[in-house]
Amino acid sequence: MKKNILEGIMVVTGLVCLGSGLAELAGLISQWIAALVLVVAFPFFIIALGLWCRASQKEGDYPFLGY
Amino acid sequence: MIVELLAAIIIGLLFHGIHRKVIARLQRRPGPPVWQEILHTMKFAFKETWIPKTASQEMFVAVVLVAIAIWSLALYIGLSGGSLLLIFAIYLLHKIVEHGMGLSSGSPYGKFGAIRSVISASSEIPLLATVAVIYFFTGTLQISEIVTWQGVHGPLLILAFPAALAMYVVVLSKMPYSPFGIIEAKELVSGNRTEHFGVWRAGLEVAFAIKTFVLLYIFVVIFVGALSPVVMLIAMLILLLSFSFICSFSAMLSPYDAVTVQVMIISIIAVYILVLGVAA
Repeated sequence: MKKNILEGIMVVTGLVCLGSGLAELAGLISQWIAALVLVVAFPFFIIALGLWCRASQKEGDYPFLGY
Repeated sequence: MIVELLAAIIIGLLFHGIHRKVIARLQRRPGPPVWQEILHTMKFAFKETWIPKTASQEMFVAVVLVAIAIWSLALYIGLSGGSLLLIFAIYLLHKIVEHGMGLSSGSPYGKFGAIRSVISASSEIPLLATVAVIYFFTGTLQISEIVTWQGVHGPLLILAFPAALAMYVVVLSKMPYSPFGIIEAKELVSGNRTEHFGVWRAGLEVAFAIKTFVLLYIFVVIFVGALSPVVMLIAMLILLLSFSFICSFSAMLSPYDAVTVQVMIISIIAVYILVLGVAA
């Protein structure tokens, strides 16, 4: 997956995680809805963060196919 | 909730590190530093990641996401004093994750691990027995109400000791290097986790850190009761050290022996429930 796509997933899910917490603190959504949003978004954030760290912006080399 | 989740991940990883350190020191080895599991997770997150050609791609990735999601939910249920039955359901979902993790990999080692995860399903029955005994005593399965009940009548650790023992074995069976950890025995390389490396393994380490935190927390809450955060962490650490002690001196059981021991515990609990029923 391209780095910019992973960056997008990471930023969106990260903002959703933070937003659910803030919305709960502000009393805009209930505790259970905030928890469910976090439960869904957090795994995607963790995986996107890890993949984004390793992703390259340029094309990779052709793999070595053997002699 | 996000703060609690991040704290649970860091504390869970530290607990894993302490567990490894204590096992090593009891075996007269220096062992890794206690923060090794945090470094380990970060190391995996920066490693090259791909999906094996023989793997079921969607399942291979989905199990990692599901593992993090279900234990995050369990953490929330535990901290908010929700239903013990939901924790039990998540524990069963974790079994599906373990199974799917191995089967999706396409590796024979992973598949053997997955098959062993089905065999080790016997470890879920003591949990069911524990839930039944707790309901018998308290008349509720809401964690918050169980805590309130203990505030009036005293800790269930004393009043329902056999149930605590059964739950202790359940938690022990999920600890790293456990004598019941047959799904990741060394003869299967890393068992059902063999093919999950790089970011996938980092995700699994995060999920398992939350799992360890949740299981230790739930044990202390339902058998000791409400404690202040610092005392709770100390109680969880003492519980963890007792697991480390057992793991350091017990060889990993064979699949047959692991099931036999767990069935024996179930039998003891079944007799205990019958005696309670007759006495009532």
